[in-house]
Amino acid sequence: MEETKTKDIILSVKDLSTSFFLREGEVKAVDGVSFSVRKGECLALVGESGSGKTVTALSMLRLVVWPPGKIKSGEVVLDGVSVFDLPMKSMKDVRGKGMAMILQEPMSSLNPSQTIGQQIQEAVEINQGLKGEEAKKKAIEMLGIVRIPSPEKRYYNYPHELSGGMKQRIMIAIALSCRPKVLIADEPTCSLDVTIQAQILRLMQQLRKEIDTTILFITSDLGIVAEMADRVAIMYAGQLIEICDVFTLFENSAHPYTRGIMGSITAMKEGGRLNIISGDPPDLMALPSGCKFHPRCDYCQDICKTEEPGYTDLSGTGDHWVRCHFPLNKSK
Amino acid sequence: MGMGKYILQRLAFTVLVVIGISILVFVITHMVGNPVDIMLPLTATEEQRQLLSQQLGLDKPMIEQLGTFLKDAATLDFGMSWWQRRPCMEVIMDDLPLTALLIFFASCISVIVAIPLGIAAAYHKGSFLDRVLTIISLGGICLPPFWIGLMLMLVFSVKLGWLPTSGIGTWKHMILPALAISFRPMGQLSQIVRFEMMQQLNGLYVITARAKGVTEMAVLFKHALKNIMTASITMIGSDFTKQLGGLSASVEVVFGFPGFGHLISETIDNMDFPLLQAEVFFVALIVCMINLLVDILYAAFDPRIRY
Amino acid sequence: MANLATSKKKVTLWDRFRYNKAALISLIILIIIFLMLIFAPLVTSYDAAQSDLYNRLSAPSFEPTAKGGPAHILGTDQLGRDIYSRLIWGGRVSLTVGFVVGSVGALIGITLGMIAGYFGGWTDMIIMRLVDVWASSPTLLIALTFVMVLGPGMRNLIIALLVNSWTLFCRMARSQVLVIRSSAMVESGHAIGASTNRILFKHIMPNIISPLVTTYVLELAHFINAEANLSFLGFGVQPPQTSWGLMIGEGRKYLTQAPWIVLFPGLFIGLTVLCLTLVGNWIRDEFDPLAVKM
Repeated sequence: MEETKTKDIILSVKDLSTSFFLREGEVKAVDGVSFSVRKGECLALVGESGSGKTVTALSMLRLVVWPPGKIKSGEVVLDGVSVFDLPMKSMKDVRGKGMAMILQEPMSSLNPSQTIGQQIQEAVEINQGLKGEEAKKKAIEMLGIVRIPSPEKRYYNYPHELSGGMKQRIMIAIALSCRPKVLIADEPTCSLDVTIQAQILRLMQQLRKEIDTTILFITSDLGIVAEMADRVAIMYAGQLIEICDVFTLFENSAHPYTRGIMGSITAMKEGGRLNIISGDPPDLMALPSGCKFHPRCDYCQDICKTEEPGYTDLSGTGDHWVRCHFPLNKSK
Repeated sequence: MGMGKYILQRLAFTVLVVIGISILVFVITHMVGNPVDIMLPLTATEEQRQLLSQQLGLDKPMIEQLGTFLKDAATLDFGMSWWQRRPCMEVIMDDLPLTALLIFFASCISVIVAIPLGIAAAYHKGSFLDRVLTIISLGGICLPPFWIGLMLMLVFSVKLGWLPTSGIGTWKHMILPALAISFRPMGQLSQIVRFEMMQQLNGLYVITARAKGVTEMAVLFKHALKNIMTASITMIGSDFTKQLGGLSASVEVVFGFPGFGHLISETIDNMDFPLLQAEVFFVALIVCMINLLVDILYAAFDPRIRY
Repeated sequence: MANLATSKKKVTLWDRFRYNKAALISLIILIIIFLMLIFAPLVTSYDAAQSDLYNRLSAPSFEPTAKGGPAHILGTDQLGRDIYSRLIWGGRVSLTVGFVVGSVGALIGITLGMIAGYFGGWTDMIIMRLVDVWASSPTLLIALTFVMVLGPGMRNLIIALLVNSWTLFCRMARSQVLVIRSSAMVESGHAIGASTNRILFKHIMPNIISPLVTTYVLELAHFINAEANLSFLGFGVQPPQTSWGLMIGEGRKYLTQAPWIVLFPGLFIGLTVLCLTLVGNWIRDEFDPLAVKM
């Protein structure tokens, strides 16, 4: 899948495959994923849990641990640097300064035995080249930026002394302290309760305007997609099945799976019955042949069961790709 | 609850345990066997028996004997050792420091060896290194320490002649006994460190640290090491108390090391009731103190623990 | 993360072994050792106590003795007794002590633990406080006190070792019962009017069995070592009977002339304990429903 607009592309991922090798067999968590992110935009990576979003992000930073996980193939180019060609020792320069990551589980993503101040300060020291008092000042400043009240005092708190929402703010502060070229946010709100979710999202939107950073936003919540994203990439069973801008997603999505998940929210909004996609979520240990979605697809034909579809460019400009033998159009 | 209050509470618990254990041992020794029968030959006359009973204060009712014992124990007076014919306190104070030093030395060896090896094994889990280290540590856990001691003696003293076979005097006399004692805690500690480290490395905070560009060395030693300390301290503390409570006896016997373990074994051989009673008192006290120390150290390594 | 919980392939018992060769080999070695000990008269050619002063301290060899007797494959000791035969007969004592202490300890501990866990409240508090106090007291010294007043010997050694044999089982059984008790199973059992005994043995027991088996196997290893330790000091069985620990204790005076007297019993203790440990760890890893298998 080639995108025509190559200018301004800061991050491109090509044919990324990552598997976990368990005793029961190989789990293809990520299978041939390709996409690019343009400078300054927010790309949302969307899919149900287990579709390989997080593993995609971890693979980009080479944080998949062997055993059992292994990056099998692919290429990640960040700002002209081919990440997978670097020796492991140089990865510390890509992590942080290149791509920083906010994890989805703030409760356990902070080191329990260090103060939050120390943990932010460490990111500052490594990635901004500051030392000692200066770094500490910067860390306190970062606490203020993520709207933590009385940051000088909070600097000395341990993670267990903070609420979940506060911890997620700390995670954001750590990631921002790295001054990354691309910020990866992996479901930053999924484990928080609804009001805190809204606060964190608002904070991220404000910060996005203030700092003008590129974001890869991983989520399974289409409401968040509508609020945050410029473009959307949909994942299913480890594969990327559709990529388009956010308006196309809501008005003209072409993959039956995308239609299915879109249908489930539009139906709810209209008060109708929830249009749940039939069948079970895919078992990654035993994926079907052909199109991975065919057992659950309403439009399934014989060819779908045997042959894996390639990517089709629907827009002609390289902005809307879909991986389907029979992409849907508006009228259907 | 404040730290001071917690410590006071624990000290009160210690007093209860020490008194309880002392009474238990007192009851076992006075109920199950009659020391006079054991100490005198079968041919002894009834008069001789009564005389000895009187000398040892065994002719009074047991509850009175127990009262006397507890009253004296409160002032650290355990009476005369039947076997050595000098105050029990003196006998214990001669030997206890030696063994404490020996066990401390052994603990140091096991910590210095086990922590880096355990971390290396966890970091390279499943590798050749990991397997070799696992086999070595299992060997340390499974082989009897006194046998390891004999083998060390055979190689380093008898065959190579580098170190003395037995006795005390120089630091050289300490090396082999300390090594023999250190193998089991070394094996256990490296297994614990390996397991705990693997858990930590699977933790999300390690991903957070790596994702902000922290080097692998810093991930291991700046971030994860502190989080495995509570488990390590528990293990070291519990091994220390077990060694002091008589486990080191067999190794001390092998090397003719005149320490506390050796003393315990000889106390049993000589049926020295007062001396055993004093030993039990001291061991119970020290075990409780070390457990308290371990609990206090917890708070130093894990900010979530507050007393 | 990927949905790892679902898998199509069923993992058979053979698979579980196949992935852990060390445990498989350990189990085979253990079975061989047990069989040799059980059939001791058939696999030994000498009596363990039969001395032969012409063949004192002779080195391991496959040659028949001068008198034409069977070879002393592991050598002889200071009285000319065949080390191999003594290892087999002594092993019987060592393992018997281990099994008896382990089994009685398990029985006491599990019963107390289940009572504590099932009834809770005051019963639980008293039992668990006792366990706490016991765990922070010098149990080895208390065991030695028993040895002192009862005198050495196999039966008394077993009594002494029992002092420290029940606490771990008690804690394990209690925590397992608490886990199961809080689950819906018992509630539904109460709802249909099942008796307390029935709930205990039909529903609770099967679920707590695998962690307890693990504990049992690992404790067995522990008691074999403990027996060796006390027998070495002369507090266990008395000559002419023998056990692995006593063989080392008796042979250590001849370390320089005849190291094999000490070498082989130590290796046998180590091997048996190692195999038990590996099998115990394997049971824990394989049958723990919470463990993720890589």
